[in-house]
Amino acid sequence: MHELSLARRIASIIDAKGKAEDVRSVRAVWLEVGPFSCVEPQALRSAFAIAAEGTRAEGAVLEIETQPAEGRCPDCAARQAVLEYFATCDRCGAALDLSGGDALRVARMEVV
Amino acid sequence: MCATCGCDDHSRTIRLEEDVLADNDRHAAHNREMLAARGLAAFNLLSSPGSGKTTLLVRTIDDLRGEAEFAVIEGDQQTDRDAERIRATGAPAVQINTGKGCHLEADMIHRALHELDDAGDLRRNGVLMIENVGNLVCPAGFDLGESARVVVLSVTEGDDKPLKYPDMFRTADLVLISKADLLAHVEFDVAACMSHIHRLQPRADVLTVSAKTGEGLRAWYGWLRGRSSAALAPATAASNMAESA
Repeated sequence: MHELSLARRIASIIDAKGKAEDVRSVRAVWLEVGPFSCVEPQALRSAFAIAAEGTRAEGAVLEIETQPAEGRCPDCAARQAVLEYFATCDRCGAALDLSGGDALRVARMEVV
Repeated sequence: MCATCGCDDHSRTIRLEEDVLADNDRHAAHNREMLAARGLAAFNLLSSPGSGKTTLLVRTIDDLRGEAEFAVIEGDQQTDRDAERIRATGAPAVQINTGKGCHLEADMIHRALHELDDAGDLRRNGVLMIENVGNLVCPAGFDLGESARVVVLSVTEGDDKPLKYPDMFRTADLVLISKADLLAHVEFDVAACMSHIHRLQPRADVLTVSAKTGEGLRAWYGWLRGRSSAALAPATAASNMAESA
């Protein structure tokens, strides 16, 4: 359950920014997550609810936006967005070379 | 308070674009600098529990005695049994107990490095082995500042482990297929396993080894030698740049 460790980091990033911006409370947080970022979204949501207790982010909704990896076909050079390991080219069926897909970023937050 | 109308209810959006692991990555970068300054190569050993990491490490330290000075950081939820096994070889070892934690993080390694350094145990041009918590999932996402990642997979675990735990195998520089002495007794297709690994990480090296019979260990030591001198290269390049600047 490394999601608890990640959730604590997220809560701490939000709380620090909230303090700097004189925020009363955080309503929602948008997280960009790549398919290869080693994160289980449901586990992260549960962990975040616990990690945010007692901070400005307590009760905030965690919105998880998937940021796909880029797949490039070594045979026909086609490019496509990829969400899973072992992806194949939509055009010719070859195994794709993958890049990116490991994003794990706090993008923005809605505050009052 | 809302800047537009002075009410308490209007929300606003703040952009952050902050990497969740930025703090861990800062510690990892600092560890890398600390290791490079002392000419140390560091290897992050990852596997599920019971793959034979510690047995392999003990044999490696024994076999390379006189050639390389090892220091070891051991990660486990509880006990210092593994560190005791390493110390029995004469090599210094620091045990990190993660409690309920399931992986090592870069700041834990940073503290352990200082502990080793304060005791005079980080020998110049030595090799640091970091035995991560036995777990094929969680440790994959955390950079510790290592020179390379070595994933150990024992033949009793099954040749399809890379398909089931892709995050881990995707980040491997080397996969050691361990307990090769048991191959005659289990259904484990080495060629199929290598093919799964290479689909996830085409650049990964794969070696089949047995710490019991010694099979494949010469290749493992050769790999370590190659990576240890490679680990020194960036520090040399950096100092050359500093001299020319």
